[in-house]
Amino acid sequence: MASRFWTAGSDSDEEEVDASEEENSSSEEESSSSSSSSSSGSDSSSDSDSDSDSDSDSDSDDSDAPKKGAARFLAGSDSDSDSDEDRRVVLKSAKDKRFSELTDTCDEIRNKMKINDWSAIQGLFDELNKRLERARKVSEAVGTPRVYVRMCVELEDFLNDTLANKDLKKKMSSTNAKALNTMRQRLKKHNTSDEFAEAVTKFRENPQEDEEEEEEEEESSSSSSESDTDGEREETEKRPAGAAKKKDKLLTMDSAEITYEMVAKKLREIVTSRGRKGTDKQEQVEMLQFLANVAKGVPQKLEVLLQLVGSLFDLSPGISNYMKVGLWKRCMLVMLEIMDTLQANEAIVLDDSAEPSEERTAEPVAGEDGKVRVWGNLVAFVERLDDEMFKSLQVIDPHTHEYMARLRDEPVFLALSQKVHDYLARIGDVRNQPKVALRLIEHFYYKTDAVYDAMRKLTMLQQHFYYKTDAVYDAMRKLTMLQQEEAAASAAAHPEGAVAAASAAAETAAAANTSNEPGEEQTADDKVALPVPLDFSMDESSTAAMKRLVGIVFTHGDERAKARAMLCTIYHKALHGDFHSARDMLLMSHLQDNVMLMDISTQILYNRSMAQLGLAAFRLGLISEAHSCLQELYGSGHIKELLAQGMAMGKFQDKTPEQELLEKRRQMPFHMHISMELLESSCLISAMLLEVPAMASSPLSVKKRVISKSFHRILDTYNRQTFTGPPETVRDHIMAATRALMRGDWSGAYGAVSALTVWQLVPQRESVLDMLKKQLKEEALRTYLFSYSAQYRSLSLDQLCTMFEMDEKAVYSIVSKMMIAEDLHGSWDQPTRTIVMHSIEATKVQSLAGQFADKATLMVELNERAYAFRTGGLRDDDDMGGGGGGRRGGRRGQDGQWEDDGGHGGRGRGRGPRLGAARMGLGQGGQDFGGHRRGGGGGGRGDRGGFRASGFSSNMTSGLPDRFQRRGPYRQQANPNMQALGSISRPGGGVGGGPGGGSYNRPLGGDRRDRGL
Amino acid sequence: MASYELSSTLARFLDKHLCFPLLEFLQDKGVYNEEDIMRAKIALLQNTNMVDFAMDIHKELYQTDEVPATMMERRTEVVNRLRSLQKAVDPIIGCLSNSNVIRNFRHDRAFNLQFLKEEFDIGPEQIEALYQFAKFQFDCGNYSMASELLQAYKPLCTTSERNMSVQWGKLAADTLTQNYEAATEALLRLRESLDNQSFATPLMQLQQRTWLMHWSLHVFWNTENGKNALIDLFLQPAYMSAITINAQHLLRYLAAAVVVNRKRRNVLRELIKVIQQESYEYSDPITQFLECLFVHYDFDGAQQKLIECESVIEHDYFLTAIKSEFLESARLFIFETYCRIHQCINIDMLSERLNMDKEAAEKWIANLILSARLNAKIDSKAGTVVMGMQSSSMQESLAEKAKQLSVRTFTLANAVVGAPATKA
Repeated sequence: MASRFWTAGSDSDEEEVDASEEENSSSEEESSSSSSSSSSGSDSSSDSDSDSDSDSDSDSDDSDAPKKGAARFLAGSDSDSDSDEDRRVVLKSAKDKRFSELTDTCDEIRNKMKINDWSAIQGLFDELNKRLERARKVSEAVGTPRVYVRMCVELEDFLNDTLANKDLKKKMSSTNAKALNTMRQRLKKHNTSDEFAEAVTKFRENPQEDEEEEEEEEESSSSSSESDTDGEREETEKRPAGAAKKKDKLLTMDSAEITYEMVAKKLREIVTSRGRKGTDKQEQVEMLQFLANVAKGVPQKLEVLLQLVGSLFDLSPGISNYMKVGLWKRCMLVMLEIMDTLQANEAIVLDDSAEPSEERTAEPVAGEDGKVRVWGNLVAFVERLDDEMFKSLQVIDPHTHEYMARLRDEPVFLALSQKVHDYLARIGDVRNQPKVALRLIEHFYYKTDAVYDAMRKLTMLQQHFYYKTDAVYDAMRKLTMLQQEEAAASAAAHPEGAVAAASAAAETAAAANTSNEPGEEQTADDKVALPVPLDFSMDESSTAAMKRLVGIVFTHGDERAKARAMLCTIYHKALHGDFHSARDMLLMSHLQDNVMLMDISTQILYNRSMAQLGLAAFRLGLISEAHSCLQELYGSGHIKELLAQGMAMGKFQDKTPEQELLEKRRQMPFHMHISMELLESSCLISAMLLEVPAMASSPLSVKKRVISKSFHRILDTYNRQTFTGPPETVRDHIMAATRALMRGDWSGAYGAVSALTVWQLVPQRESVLDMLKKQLKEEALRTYLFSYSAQYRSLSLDQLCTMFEMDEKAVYSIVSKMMIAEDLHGSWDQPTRTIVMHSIEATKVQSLAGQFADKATLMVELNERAYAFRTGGLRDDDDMGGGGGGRRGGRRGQDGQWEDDGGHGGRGRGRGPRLGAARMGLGQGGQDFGGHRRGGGGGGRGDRGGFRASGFSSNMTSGLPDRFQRRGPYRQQANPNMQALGSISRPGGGVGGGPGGGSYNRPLGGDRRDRGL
Repeated sequence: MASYELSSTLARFLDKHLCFPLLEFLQDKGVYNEEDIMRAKIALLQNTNMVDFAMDIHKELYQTDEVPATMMERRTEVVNRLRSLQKAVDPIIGCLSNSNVIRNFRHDRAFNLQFLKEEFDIGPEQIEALYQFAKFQFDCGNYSMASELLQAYKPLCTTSERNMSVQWGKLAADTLTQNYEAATEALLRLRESLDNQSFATPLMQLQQRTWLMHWSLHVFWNTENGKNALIDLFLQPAYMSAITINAQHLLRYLAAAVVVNRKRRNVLRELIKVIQQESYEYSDPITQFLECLFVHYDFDGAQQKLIECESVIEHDYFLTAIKSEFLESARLFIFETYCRIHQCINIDMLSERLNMDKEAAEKWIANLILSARLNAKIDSKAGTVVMGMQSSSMQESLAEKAKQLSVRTFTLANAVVGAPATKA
């Protein structure tokens, strides 16, 4: 009711319907317009205020007051409200008895709480529950008595406090601690059970209802707003009235008598007591609300309001919990009022460097520039509100209506931020302006066009609805229908925005419905109506909005703001399919170089941008780009954490509760999520398209380049399956496609891939599928040629065209490319339109011998490097190694040193690939030679060898002076080279070469392992 | 054709005076409406001191002898300024024309200033006037004079920013006087100072690099070894990134230079990569030609693009001189690539591809074979060219590898076994 009143006061009176409100607002106008305290104006304003205060009392006294609006709904929760009494007169005495019992028990519990006696509390709590049961039987009420709920809440708070207080916990006796734990569990269960959860939350949102009862005032009111809530509370509720009485001194005063000084004094009192122990925050808020109405002059009013926002923030329970929605809305309303006041009085400047008001006793006079400075920091408030909204969205279950309702508050927040932003622009505060702009950007960047439009329409609808401009309403109604359809469509189209869009649709629907019964909207919206200011309008398109805001951040923002704005822009561009400019922005800003130095939330944003960039590339058919964008995210196996879209179910790492809490705090709200499934499909399909032809091109090659490790891993597991069922998961589908693609069967692959349901989430579904089909055909052709070209003597172009359903030009182009790259040993015979193969395909022995030679070369290279390191100078090696090979080795050695040098600072960035290569080579060795006969095991040993190799070379880099240890392996390594040479140079001895190498390699691997341990 | 015409893009990065030859050229070619060009010229001249010239154009354009009053005003203004500058600059010019004075100059600029001050009572004002005068002369179109004045001013300028503008001025003046040798030198020096200047912000450096590349077009396309220098300059990482960020259209000139320059085939791969990477930002027939040929292996497309290239080159101020050279090289490109992936080619087809008649094509191929640039034979009966195959057997390559290994291992073994003994 109070909030309702405020908004009425703060807005122009045209919208007013209610007569009394109109009166109020006009008096507000007067008082604000004449800042030099026109007595009549302030008089009337305080009058109207006392009206509103008295509402509660008048209703509580008057039990026959007609029930309407919110009252009907609250009847359920407050079982024995006065208004019900007349119906159950017979039961009254019994009921009273039960309730006094309840209250007594509660008081007892409170006493025990004071001495921290948990075992006693536990017993009393049981008793309390029993009594409640009895009371219920008597009163037949559906709901829970307020005393009881209050007790529960108090208990819970106390419990939390006790738990937080470690010292206290330590001091407790064991029985006491045990009781505490039992209580904790029980209370938790109890308070979250369906029966009580609602009542508890309701109580937490509106605890002040109890307190207001104390304010006894004689004036009766004519206005009848929805203040019935206050009337419905327990008569039996007893509170120490002393504190309340004291503050009432000012409240009971005639508003005309209240002077500037008095208000200032009271305000100062509140400010100084803020944050102290034992201060009743609730009471402060109330007092401030009152003060805001009696304040003399606009600047003072602003001061009070600003303080009020701060006090409202104090009410919220701390950093880990989110601010209750109702409280948040109240904050918003106060903020909006502040902004309206600022808008109306251009001479007032809010400034956090202005002198605090403490010294002043009279109204501040305008400075020489005609400005009145008032202390205050709007930006901090906006940021806090944004954070709280974010937090609440994190916690609320995204599949509930509550979540959607929360999302519907976004336009109001946007409106407020926009107002603050405009205000800052007006006063030329370039330091804070980008902060607000960034907040706005972060509300816009993840919205697709459809979602943005829905949001825009929602804004308009809310405006028109709340201000009851009926003429527009019909038009909007029609629009709603349209928009609902649209939003439904967009929900299907955009995974990320689905929720937002759906909620927008739901909202408009709700708005349309509720507007038929205007009485009910208050309750539906947590009793606080939050209208979107009329003078707010969103930009036509999100791109325009982004551009405008980003410009501000780039010109004035600090480094972090710039980086974030840049990342948001990249995300936004990628989302809108503008991959190239998004990529260019990313590359030019060099964000990827220093993102590791930024805070975690920016890193998450970076990851999100990266993922979105990958998806954009994928949609455009830029497969390798998409792969390189997504690979790192997906391949890490921690994609959920990287995108802050859920906690990892890590079996191996255990996190401390603090870490877990921190991580929880980082989570993205559901409506901002990027679809995991889509990411997975895109990444794996890209990997498949790149990997399958690569695998086909060199099935036995030593220098096999693994493009995607995770893909290989999945493929291996898939191949090991004894029985392959029809595909179910994304992975299954893609693996099935991979199988088909490996055979060159593009249509099978396409069938498997296009069966993925995830494509429904892609806005340009058709074009993406077409692109995929084309890519699959091309890669299938390449794979086919790689795998089976050896079987052909010649291949006709036309046949290839029909096989892969591609046009001649495309086939020609692909085949030519392969010929140039020497992937395909053949050439075109132009007159006959055929590919003629030059079958220089090596025999198995030859290719194995070739591999062996390659491996030997690698060893020699390693040896040369090692030697070069040992002798210290690389140049020496260069001089000594007279042959061409020696020189080359020397140069490579130099490279090595280069990289190692870099490795000290840059953490082995250069070293990575090199070691990888070495490892791969040796690992392969194990598999090819050792593994040839012994089936499995080769891989494992190879791996170990690889591991050794990496350890070995890092040993070299660190330059340990242990000569003996090192000379050993070198010699041994030099030997196999000889042996290998022997086996190769002997013509026909190739067969012997294989096993020879194998038998050698095994002890070598073992040897290494020993040393490794 | 105007769609591939780059003048307007180039003009953004060029000096007013450097734009002028482009406009003249366009006027000759008649790509645009002549009156438009004349108007553009007047607009261009408006901010220079070449008032008389502007007047002439005006007369020609509107077929009158009337000249707008603004032009007349401007003229008197210019003349007045000339007089005053002349007066201010006289002493220093007099003194600098004395070769003895110049001989006394040293590399130390402070010393030079001191020297002038003491000996001739020439202070900073005069020196500043000298610079202004040079600028004025340049604006008047008196480029050689400007160049000389700047040369004289150079040992006297103290701030590095001023030094930069002097270098820019020198480059422009030398280019416009078609003294390309001096211009090349100025270009080199400018580039050096650009790369060495540490005070500029990255953005400014980028901007200046872009300018430099544009200005250098005038020089490079008019000098003997220019194409090589152009390739060198443009492929420098710093300049390449300037191209990709700021001026993708320069890829045309780089591509043309690479195509024409047979010795620089090695950079082709790099070029193709950049072209591909930037194809969404910029593409014209020349880059498309390379793309067709080396990315898509689409010879018909390449052929098509080559025809388009012809007219593009014809209408490009810088490239028009190398048109035939370009076409010839491009043709060779096509043919070479074609040969690499074919073992048997119909001459009829080939002649069509190469845009030649059959006889000429045959002759052309025969020439290539003769000059040992093509390993092929002509089968005149079937009317085909049969490529010679160069296949290396697996055996050979293995033997080669083994040989290499043995040499390397031997040296290594020698070093390991022999060296410690000698060292210890």
